[in-house]
Amino acid sequence: MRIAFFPGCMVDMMYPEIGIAAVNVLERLGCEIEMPEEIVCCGQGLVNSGYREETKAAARMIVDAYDTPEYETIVSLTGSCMNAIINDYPLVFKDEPEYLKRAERLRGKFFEFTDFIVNELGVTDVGAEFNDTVTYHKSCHVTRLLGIKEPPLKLLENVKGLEYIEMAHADRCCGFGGTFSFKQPVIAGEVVYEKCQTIIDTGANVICGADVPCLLNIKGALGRLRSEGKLDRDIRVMHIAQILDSRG
Amino acid sequence: MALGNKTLDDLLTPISKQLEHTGVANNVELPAWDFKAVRVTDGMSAPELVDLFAAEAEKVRVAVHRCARTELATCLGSIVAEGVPETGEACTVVCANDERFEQGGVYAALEAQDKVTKLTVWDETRGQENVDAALTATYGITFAAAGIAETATIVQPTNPKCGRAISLLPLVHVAVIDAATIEPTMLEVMENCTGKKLPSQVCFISGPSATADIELVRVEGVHGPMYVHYVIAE
Amino acid sequence: MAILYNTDKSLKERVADCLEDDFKHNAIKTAQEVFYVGRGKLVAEMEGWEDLRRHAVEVRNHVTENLDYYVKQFAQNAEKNGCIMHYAPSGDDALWEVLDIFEKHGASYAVKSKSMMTEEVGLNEILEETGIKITETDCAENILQTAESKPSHIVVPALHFDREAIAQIYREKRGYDGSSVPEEITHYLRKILRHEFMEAEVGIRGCNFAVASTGSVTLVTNEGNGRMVDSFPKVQIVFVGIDRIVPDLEALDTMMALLPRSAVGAKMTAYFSLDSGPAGPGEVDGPEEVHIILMDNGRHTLANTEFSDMLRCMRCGACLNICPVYRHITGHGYGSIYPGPMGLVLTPGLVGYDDIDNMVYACSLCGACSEHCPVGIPIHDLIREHRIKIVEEHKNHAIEVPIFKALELFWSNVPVYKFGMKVGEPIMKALAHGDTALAEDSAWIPVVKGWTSTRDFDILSSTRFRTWFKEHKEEQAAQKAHGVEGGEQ
Repeated sequence: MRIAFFPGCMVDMMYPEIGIAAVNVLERLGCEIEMPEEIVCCGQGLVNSGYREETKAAARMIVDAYDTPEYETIVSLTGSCMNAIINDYPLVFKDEPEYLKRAERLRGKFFEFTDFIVNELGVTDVGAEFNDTVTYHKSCHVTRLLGIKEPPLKLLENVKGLEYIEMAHADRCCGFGGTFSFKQPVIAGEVVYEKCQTIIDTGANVICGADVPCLLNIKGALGRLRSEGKLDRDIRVMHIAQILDSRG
Repeated sequence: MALGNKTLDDLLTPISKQLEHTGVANNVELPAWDFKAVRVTDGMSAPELVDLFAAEAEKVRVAVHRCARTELATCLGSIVAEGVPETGEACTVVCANDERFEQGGVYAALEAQDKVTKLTVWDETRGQENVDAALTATYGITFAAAGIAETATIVQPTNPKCGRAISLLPLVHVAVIDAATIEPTMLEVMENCTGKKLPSQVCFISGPSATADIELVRVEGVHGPMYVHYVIAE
Repeated sequence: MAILYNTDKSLKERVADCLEDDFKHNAIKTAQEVFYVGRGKLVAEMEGWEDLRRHAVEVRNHVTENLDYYVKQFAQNAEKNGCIMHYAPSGDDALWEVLDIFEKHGASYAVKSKSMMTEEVGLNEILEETGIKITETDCAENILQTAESKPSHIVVPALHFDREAIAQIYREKRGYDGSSVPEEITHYLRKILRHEFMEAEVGIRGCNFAVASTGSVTLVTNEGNGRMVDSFPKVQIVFVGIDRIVPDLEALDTMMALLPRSAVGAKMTAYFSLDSGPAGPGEVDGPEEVHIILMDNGRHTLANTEFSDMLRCMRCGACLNICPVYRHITGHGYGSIYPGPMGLVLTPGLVGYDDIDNMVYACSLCGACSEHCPVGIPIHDLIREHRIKIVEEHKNHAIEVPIFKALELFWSNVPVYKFGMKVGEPIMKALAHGDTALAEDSAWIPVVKGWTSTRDFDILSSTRFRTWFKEHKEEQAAQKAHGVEGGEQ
């Protein structure tokens, strides 16, 4: 199957290894992957901060890159950005009819990574092996705003050697919230440290998720806890793609 | 613009303007809602509704008694025979003025109890005396107009023969509900009220007065009754 | 008190105060979980929940779209029931009407059952200034009034005091000599307040829903103070917001199936009263006069705008009970009598953007509120809509504009982005002192400190994903070409 890939800018900037893992998984499942070069960021951080007008340039770029006849199916590695593209672009372009139409066309073509594997490819066992204890953060955008609840759990369930431990309030926000994290660091800190505690309480060695921004946030908080001596063991933060790419 | 003394039009004009209405419509038809929510009571028979009502009542800490309609006097008599709850001291009773109580010999049965020192039957001609009696009474007894099975609610309208105070001021409220009046949900009660002149108050009561305002600890008996009994007459 | 309070402190300062108070912080977290779990259980076992929600949305929208008609219908029917109507386009109009009622009766003593509308207009302060005694009768509200404090939760507003503090408040102010056991304090309140209900000349109350077809007002309480207020004082004043109206009794049932479950995780509250006018002939108790203050105070400005969904709100607090921010900063952090997600939409909707500080940014837009709202208000979308309006109206902080303008450029221009990466990577590397993340010692850098003051921040990777991908595709193409030449495929 021929697909266009949307990695999200954080993967490009900070975590190429997550994108590489996802490409490996998808190629193993028989996907032929394309990626446009003229992309940077979906602009979510701007519109969520109220800068609707300023979001347009980034959003137009994404629409221009992905709304082409050659891309029938687009797979997003980050639920959060995908939500912005399919659910927020209509607001961004409410006074730009042409881009509004094109953004709405994108809506039907976008699939979140785990949802794509389970519901489009019909695969729940990707043949991965990962011998460790894992908990999964049910990020707001993937779980609530895109309504993708089962696919990531089904995929984890079928990973050989993986022991899944659910954290309490797994679908509670990690406190990232884009620029919220920068504008209200004290509140965001409270929220993420509570999230960390529920992760630590599972005893799992790995926390994974399907949304890169949350993982950056959780990783930053766990790292700070570790360096301050408030956490006595390493907890690895991974994208679910990296687990699915593991071979024991 | 000066404060106060505003007319209805003063209130309505900005609203109409905001809605881009040229004026207030003379008539607005309710849309024909295509709506029927599944309720837990769907398909229940009358006896099942009574059972649900009783079971839900116990969940909200109501003492439930079920008796034959002919045994109402005995049942109510045995409740007040306990005197003041916990201490067992002598008590006073205030009771709604209801034909069904009169005919069923309820008043006589209440007065016959050793622990009942005084029975006040609500009497509109005695005005405030009724309220004063309720203020110090241990038991207040009313005949509910209906029951609601889903939520164990009783429907208590106010009228000249049954004041608001009876179900509110005494330490214990005893409500009699005729099993035949138990409706599945509040919707049926509301439908029954539709188109009729409503009394000044219809009170829907579901258990004792309660609060959790201090450290979320549940305490019963805040401003209203501390104990509630439902007597289901079948 | 008006809608905003404690405005001499900034949002940041109020939040810091709240986080310092461990008791309050934990009490709100516990309350959230108790209500949330209770609600969740009831909703899960109620098959028709989503149908009821959808119906509530269509009913409430219908009223909003015809608000002028339904306000008029309610007013006329309430008047037919014998209520004396007072129309208050503004909060000050409402205060004027109330003072007029007290003056006409020469009354100087009132009991009140909790009403957000009266808080909104600052009724208690005005009455007290004119020498009228007004007693809050909801236990929590009485604690707050006695302690001169403000609500931290809209359903259980005095949760920030522990039992010992509450006992001490009554010992000092009212001569209470009992223990700090909640039951004993509550029963003490029963005793002292019962006296007040009987003595007061005027009862003041709010209204959860007003029924247009019957002119009825309703009141939902658990303690029974609402019933006391509307049974014994001879004069009753009912505050009704124009956004409280339902068309008929059947719609009232839909709302009542949703409200207690959403608010406190109970199928029904202990009391729910449907009041239609003053006491009838021969009725011994109940008010002789019922005055209805029908108040707008800015609500109509939400109709027919992006914010009109907010007029469906029934003030249940379900959004507070699920909010990841509210649980930490509590009602006091927001500085509005309407806190939490619903407050972030309603407060600026009623008071505008000038005095709200950074309130609308105290939200991660996680959407849990919208998912739980019984009347389907897209709360988090409306919070963002306020942010958009703030920028459009140039009420944002001037200092942040260049930052967002820079992001606009950076995120929409590949060469600029690539250049930024090239320059940024070694800088971040240096700041990380050989580590892979920026630690707290980078918290002196503007913007960055927003993050690194509380968490580490991973630095830029040394390669871009796009670079790897391009090479990867080239390799694949080369392999493919090679494979074809070699005849292996």
